[in-house]
Amino acid sequence: MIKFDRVYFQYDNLPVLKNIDLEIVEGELIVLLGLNGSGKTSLFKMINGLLKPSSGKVFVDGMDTKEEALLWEIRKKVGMIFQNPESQIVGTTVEEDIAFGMENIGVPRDEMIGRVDQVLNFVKMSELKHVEPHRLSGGQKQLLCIASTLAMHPKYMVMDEPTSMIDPISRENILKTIVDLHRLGKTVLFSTHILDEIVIAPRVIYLRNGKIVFDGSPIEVINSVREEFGTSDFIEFQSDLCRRGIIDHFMDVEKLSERLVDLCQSSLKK
Amino acid sequence: MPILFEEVKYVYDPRTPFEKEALNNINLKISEGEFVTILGKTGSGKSTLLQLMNGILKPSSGTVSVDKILTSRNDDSIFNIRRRVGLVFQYPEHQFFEENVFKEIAFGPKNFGVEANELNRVVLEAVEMVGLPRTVLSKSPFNLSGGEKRKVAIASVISCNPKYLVFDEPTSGLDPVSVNLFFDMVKRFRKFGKTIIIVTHSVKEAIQNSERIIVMTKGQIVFDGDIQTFIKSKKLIEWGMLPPPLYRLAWKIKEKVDDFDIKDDRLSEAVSLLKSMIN
Ligand SMILES: Nc1ncnc2c1ncn2[C@@H]1O[C@H](COP(=O)(O)OP(=O)(O)OP(=O)(O)O)[C@@H](O)[C@H]1O
Ligand SMILES: Nc1ncnc2c1ncn2[C@@H]1O[C@H](COP(=O)(O)OP(=O)(O)O)[C@@H](O)[C@H]1O
Ligand SMILES: [Mg+2]
Ligand SMILES: [Mg+2]
Repeated sequence: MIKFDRVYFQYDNLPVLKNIDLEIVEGELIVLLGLNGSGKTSLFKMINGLLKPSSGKVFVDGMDTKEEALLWEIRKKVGMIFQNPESQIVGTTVEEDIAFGMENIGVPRDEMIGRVDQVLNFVKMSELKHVEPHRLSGGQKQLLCIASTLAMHPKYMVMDEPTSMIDPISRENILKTIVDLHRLGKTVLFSTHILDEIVIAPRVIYLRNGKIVFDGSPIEVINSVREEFGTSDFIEFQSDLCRRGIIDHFMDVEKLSERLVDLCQSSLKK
Repeated sequence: MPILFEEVKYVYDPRTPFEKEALNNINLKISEGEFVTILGKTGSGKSTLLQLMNGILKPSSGTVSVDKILTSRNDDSIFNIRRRVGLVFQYPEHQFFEENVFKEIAFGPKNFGVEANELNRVVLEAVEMVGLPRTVLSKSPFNLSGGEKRKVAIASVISCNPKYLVFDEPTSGLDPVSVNLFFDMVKRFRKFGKTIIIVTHSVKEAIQNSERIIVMTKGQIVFDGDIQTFIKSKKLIEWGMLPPPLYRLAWKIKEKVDDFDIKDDRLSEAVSLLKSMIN
């Protein structure tokens, strides 16, 4: 479990997070939403101890991020993926980049070889194993970061705007990968400004000015933030289906089409 | 007068093992007052194309000219080109170098001869247009959130009041409110006759705002036309783009249910909306 206990944080004397109380349970998939400057990146950086609370505490599986001696353990549990993948890639080939993180945490050599293939298979990039990272497209670099992080077997995966700088098809790929990670049993948190992406997560947290002001299902949150954050026709369409009792939660295009096809077919039979 | 590309090729790191041809056979004319959106997969050459427009990159072969001034001339005309063509980079950090946001935004106008007593007004105006609070002015541009950095990058180019405004993925990382502000701003610039060129990954932004769409694939222009022709084209997926989700939903249902007519009252409205999207 990740637990924020009355966390207050300021840069110099600018308050950025204001008394955050938050519990994240194993196996959750959570989206963090909020306007620019609301504190999303800062909140994420608290989880692996890159930033420390000015007051209050953050615990990862009971370990306090303020205890320097525990940081190593904490960072093994929390995989972080930043918005700009370039800043994180260190290897001169895809394979090497994935191995690098594992070497750091002392994964045995034969185990490493297996894991490289495993994670490459997972992000569907096996054929790119020996490619130099600078030849990858933006979307592939993002997936490489996910693979390299995943290879370290973190329990929690935290991704800051993983879809913001890439083309739509690569974006879909990343979102599918996030759903797959969740299915695999990982606890995943990500942030986005693209509202349509909230449909893949059961829980949405909305930050305003350093405070968590809404925390609930996508439907609940959108009903509260529509005015402030805006909406989209896809989200409104699903809200309407919910209101009429046709569906009871938001879904991605794939699942929603299956559901509607079912309904169409059964209604035709009548 | 236009921005004109003639038979342009661009190669990164020529004659090295890393040689990479990023653009090939580009012929393009963007006239004054146009609003053009450029779409394409990552790596297709969009950013390279934009950097050729203000002379940061010079063509490996062929020519690029702005209002008939060649960008490859080795004299002070490059200053003239920079003055005309303002480019907001894809990665805001790549353009920052001042110690605080005020100086960052003031740098361009100061350089282009705006008087000291005017400078304050110009900077405040730019900051307001992109929706940044004045409190950021004294901060280092590097110590900002992702979206705030993007806004500073935009403000420091619009403050120079260039004739051609060129934006590389200006809305990535902006929240939806800021995206709306950005397009309001762009529309205002258009009223003053400015030329707007935007790279984006959002098909929705492209069709809602601009008039002309250019699609790039592997260093070439594979589509150049109006919105209607673009939407009807069957190649969106091939080009790395996705239609908006409701359209995809409608198409998916259509694939499986031939007779898309429904008796269920609860469903019928939703279905007729989806049907109208296919037609
Ligand atoms: N290194 C820093 N030094 C000082 N202030 C900072 C620093 N990084 C961020 N801030 C400030 O902290 C606040 C929250 O920033 P944060 O990056 O957490 O926001 P965010 O929600 O991630 O925003 P965005 O959507 O733009 O990425 C902002 O007011 C920002 O200016
Ligand atoms: N500074 C550079 N050095 C070497 N190659 C580059 C550089 N910038 C871009 N490239 C390469 O040129 C091609 C086009 O890149 P770019 O113009 O950035 O595309 P886009 O903006 O469409 O993503 C890509 O193959 C990319 O890897
Ligand atoms: Mg951020
Ligand atoms: Mg680019």
